[in-house]
Amino acid sequence: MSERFEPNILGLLCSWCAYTGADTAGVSRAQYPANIRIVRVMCSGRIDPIFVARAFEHGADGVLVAGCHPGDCHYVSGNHFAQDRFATFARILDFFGIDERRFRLDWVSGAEGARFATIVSEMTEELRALGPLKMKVS
Amino acid sequence: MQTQSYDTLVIGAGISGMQAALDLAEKGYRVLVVERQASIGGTMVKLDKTFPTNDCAICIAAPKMVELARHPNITLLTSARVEQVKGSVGNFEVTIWRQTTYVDPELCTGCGDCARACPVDVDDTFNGRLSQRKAIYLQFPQAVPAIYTIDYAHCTGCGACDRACGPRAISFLRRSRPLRVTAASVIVATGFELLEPTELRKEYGFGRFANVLTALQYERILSASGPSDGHITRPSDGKVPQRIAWIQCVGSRSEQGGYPYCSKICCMYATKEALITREHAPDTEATIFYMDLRAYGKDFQQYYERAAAHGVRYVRSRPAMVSENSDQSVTLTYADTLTGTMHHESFDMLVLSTAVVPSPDNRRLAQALDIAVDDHGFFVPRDPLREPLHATREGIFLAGGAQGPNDIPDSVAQACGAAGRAAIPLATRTRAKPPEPPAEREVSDEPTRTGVFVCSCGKNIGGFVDVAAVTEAAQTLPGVSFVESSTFACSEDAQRRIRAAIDANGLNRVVVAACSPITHGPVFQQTCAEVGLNAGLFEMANIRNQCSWVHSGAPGAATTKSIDLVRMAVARADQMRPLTAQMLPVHPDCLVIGGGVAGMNAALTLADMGINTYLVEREPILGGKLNTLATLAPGDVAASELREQMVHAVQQRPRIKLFLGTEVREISGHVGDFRVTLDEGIGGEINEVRVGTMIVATGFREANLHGRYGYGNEPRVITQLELERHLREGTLGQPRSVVMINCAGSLEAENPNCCRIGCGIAVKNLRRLREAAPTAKLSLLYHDLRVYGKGQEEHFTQMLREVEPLRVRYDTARPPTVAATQSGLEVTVYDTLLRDELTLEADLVVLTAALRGDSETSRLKQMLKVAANGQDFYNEAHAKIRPLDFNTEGIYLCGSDHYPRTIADTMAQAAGAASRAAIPLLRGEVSVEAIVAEVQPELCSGCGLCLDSCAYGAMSMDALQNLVLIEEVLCKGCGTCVAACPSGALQQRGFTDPQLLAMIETAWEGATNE
Amino acid sequence: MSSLIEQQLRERATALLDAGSIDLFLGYRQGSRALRVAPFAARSSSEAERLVWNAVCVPNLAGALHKYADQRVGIALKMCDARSVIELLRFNQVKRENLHVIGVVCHGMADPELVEVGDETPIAWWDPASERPTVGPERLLEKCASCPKPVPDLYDELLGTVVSAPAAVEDARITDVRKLEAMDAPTRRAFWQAQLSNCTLCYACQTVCPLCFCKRCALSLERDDPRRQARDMGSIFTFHMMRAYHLAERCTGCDECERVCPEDIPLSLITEKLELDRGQQ
Repeated sequence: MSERFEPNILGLLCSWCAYTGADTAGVSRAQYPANIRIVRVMCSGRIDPIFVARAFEHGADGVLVAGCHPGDCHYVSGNHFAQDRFATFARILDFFGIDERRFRLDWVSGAEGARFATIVSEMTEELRALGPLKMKVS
Repeated sequence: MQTQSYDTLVIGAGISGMQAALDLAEKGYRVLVVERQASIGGTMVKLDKTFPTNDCAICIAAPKMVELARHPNITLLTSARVEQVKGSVGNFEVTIWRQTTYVDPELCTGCGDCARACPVDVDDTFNGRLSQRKAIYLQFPQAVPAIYTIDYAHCTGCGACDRACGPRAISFLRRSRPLRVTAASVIVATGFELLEPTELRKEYGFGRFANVLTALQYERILSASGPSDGHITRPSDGKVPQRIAWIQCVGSRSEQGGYPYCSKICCMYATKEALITREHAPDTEATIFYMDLRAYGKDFQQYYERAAAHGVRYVRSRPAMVSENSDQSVTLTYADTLTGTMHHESFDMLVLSTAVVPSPDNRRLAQALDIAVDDHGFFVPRDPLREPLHATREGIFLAGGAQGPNDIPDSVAQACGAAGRAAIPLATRTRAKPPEPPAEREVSDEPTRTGVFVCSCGKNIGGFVDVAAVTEAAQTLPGVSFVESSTFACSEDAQRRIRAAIDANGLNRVVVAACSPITHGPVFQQTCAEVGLNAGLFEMANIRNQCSWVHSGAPGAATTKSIDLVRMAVARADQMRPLTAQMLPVHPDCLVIGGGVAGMNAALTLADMGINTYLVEREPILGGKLNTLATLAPGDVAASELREQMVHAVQQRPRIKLFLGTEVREISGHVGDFRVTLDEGIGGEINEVRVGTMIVATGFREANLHGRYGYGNEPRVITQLELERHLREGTLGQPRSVVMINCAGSLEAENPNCCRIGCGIAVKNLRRLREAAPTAKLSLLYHDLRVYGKGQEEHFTQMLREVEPLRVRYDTARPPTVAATQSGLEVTVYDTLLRDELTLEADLVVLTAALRGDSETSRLKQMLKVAANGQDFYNEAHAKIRPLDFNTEGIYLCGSDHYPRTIADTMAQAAGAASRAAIPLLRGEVSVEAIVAEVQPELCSGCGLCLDSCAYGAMSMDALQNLVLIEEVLCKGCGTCVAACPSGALQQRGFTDPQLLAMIETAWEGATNE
Repeated sequence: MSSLIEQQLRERATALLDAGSIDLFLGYRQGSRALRVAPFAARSSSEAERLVWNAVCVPNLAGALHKYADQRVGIALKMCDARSVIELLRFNQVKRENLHVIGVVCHGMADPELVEVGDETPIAWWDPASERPTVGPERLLEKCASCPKPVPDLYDELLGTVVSAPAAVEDARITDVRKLEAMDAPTRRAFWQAQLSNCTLCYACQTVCPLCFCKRCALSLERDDPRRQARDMGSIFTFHMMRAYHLAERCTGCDECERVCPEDIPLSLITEKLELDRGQQ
């Protein structure tokens, strides 16, 4: 019997936009797969790539980092720093053979509940197809 | 009878009343709030979402409700009404009638056993009579106070509730009784109602046809706590409607069919309802039948365009009548005003955007207060232009829907303004000191003892998530020593139980598994604080917004995920440490930037509140646009006259120190202690002033239209501001034919905004032109006629009769062109109603130019560290409930630098900004952000990788010690520097690496995936 | 017998020490094994006599600088070591005014691992005429074989002379990185999985790195951490990926990490990748 693989996804979301967008998804009852676990930070600029690495280490099959749209950062420019840092880190993940689809950086405004649901749905589908990361198996 | 004395009485506790009361209470004044209903919240809490941000209405209102109920300076009386107000400003003697609810508020726990026992079903008015409640009831789940009320009109007196009540809170012997109080000032914020078109506009079938609803009823249908739990269904048969239509202006903008005024909010709420409907159920057809689409607020036009892009259909039309079909669908007969043809169309459900009407109690209250109402029953200001917030009796002020249709941000702004004006008679009174923070329990040496409180949120969580399973799982988590579930964790009763559990079990961490920490975190933090538990020791697991609501189709997965989220929160809790918000003294003076109407009125209000104010104006004279404009609406007051009055008033106030011809050069510091460098320019002085707060009132400018519509090339093509100057100075000459083109440069890709006030200016200036040139041919080219502001619709109708301009509707996608001819100018326009191109001869073309924020905005926003949009209008902290605040603490805004507005609105806003800015000044202290970054010096290697990441200038390098330093008052707590630090030497309090990693590393502890 | 550079170095070190313009001179001394040298801080003219310069002056002296914070240091730097010092200056880890740099022209260092048995005196590999190792590019350190630049970018005085154009040898590391990049993700993952399964989390790479200047490494696990004891594969990936991330903007490709790795993990693939990516930006 082959049961469908259900990936574990970590969501690292900024409080002002992406997390609020996830709240909005709830308020508008947008439906998306239950694979994501969300950690709230104040700004996407707070998100250290080690959070992503540790998530993979502890069982995540994919990680979503989401903040305010470029130009809309509640803290002026935190999301630019997130963008720069994760551009570098994504290249490193890729070089170590961690499929680029396992990490996603995106922007979600507080009003974009539907968009948040779509992003999570897309990512879940991709990771289902990709299978488990198996970071623990040596 | 004992007489209590208060500083201010606030009548009505909707969003306006709540805001006014909080603004005064925060200043240290003692406020009595009297609300007619059993719960505070007003109309806003009935709404599903709010435009244009789609914020959940109750979610943003509920924290204010709780804050109000808890405020030490506020006394709240619900189910009460004001009977009589004697005396005068400074000493009003007020008689209040307290209606008994037969329930002892001290004893009621809000458990609801009484309602379950009650045998009487009553139409639920909160839900627009679309569902039923009991004769003993709570208005809505988040009601404040959360105390059941007996609806005496429907109660049969059977006593079932009394027998069911565990704490014996019900007593039929409780009597209504009068109460006497004194107050120095009064604010009237009694709100509005929406017309129920059973008589007026009965041709639309409301009350006769089951599937014809008012928009307010439809809000309840959309609401998750509404009669259909947020599912869109028809009242007649519970089926999901496929085709829904909205009819606009039902009872508005019609002398014969209702009320002559524009209800101002309907275009946007209908757009919102249609948009949300299509987001809920994308297959639903949503059609809006409208006259003019008045999307004239900030970001409204974009919201409307988004709705249209999402498939909401807009039909410019005149709906004639509605008939019901055998399947209880309805057929609407309407004339399409763009094509001039009649149509019949069927809809499963029809929503009527009905007129905003005054509360029926207004006339009685007007008598009790001895203040005036207008013909319709709205309270009237004693001077609609200069003093829009003053009722006709000294010391009584007006805010929100009580004086006419207003949206939420305008209501909030007026409420702040009324609070500012109402504070003036209080200037000499002693203020209550800010309450000492409750003593905190020292917990650092204790082993972690976490309490977990799981909320069912009625059915919102409990309907999909197995709350018992979550509760059980929580018990097994490390460090957890107490777990409890509740129906509504945010209810007052549940809060009491949380406090009791903390005390009884010595809990030193609290995790609430409920809804969003953004909306409800502060409520629970306050609860913890009341029993000595620091706010930093509290954490939420958002199992409603992230589980039950979004995985309602997969209850098993939703439950598993809820358990994971609770585990993560508990793991984080173990790592949490107390957060202390530092208190800083406040420099007691204020600075106002901009000496136009907004800036002058803000300074006047501040000075009269007893605050020393610096008023800075770039030009050598005060007045701003008053130096250009000819006349002002309403009342046709000469701008020069208002300018003289205001400048004189400013000069009379020794508390106002003027800096004319002065620019702001540099701003440093923070709320409580800003240092501002003022430069008087060449030959002048450079001054540094220290202030505690600042108000930005820099106004607007016309967009540059050079090269368009012949502007800049043809001297006879001018803008409205230039026309105003001609009218003012009498230099217009005798034009024979004037063409006015509205929306020049608006509603287009580069500037999608509607300037809001352009139509009103056009109406005003057409009348002035008629006076100046009685025989001239006057033409008005418009896209939509969006006249804005109280009394403006009537003014507009009158203008049409008197001036009889040629009106041509064009589409901004195909704007008119202006060409020079030998004899003058020629305007070519495609008339969308005649569907033909017209050519108009003119010797004067007046462009109602798009409006933008001041040209200095981009420079000033950098200094202020605040944000502005692409049109140079400043961004407020929150579009709905914080319209006068910047995100940067201690800085406020008012007037047209936020968005173009009328003089009356500007006056109100300026008073409001003054009220906001006065709060820290009168409190005398501010608390600093608690979740700031900190340096652990023993780990910092001084590499400086973090320095660039700070957008607030809070970081610097101590070259001597090779250490990074953080100035905590400047830190906003984003944590961007923390993620830049490779060694972990920087940490963000409340969001430390160990806290976040604890969540990340426990997220899948229970998972089976390998 | 000694090289000319060695003699000059001793003279200059002695002079600087005697003049009191530096507190110590950082160079190399003969190591405990014949073909090894060790970093050495000479604090007197007699100690300066122990300084050596030969064909195996491999260790990056920049990595020793942090031990002498706030002292005035004279230092002998090859081009690649100077690059590290430049980075240290950029990140405030050394003060320029405390540093007297004697740049040494370098035509590459021999790889001691590639030495033939019986041929074990470094000086035998030194060509006194050209002041460079006698061995061909195949026995130089990998990084030296393709190094285009004999003269450091930072010095107060310079020893040695540029005698010939550097050999135009293709950098084998680039080829290897390109090969890895061309693989699909699972294959690349398998490659690293195989390589990193040897990692013992000894952190020698981090300890030796001249640009790992944190006072405490946030990436290394405590000795008693179960993940370290179990050589948890996920933790090993996290460490190497994060180390790469932290060094992304500053690694100078000195290859010290790979040199000291007891398990011969090809860490220079990572550092070379960082450099290639920087070049692309």
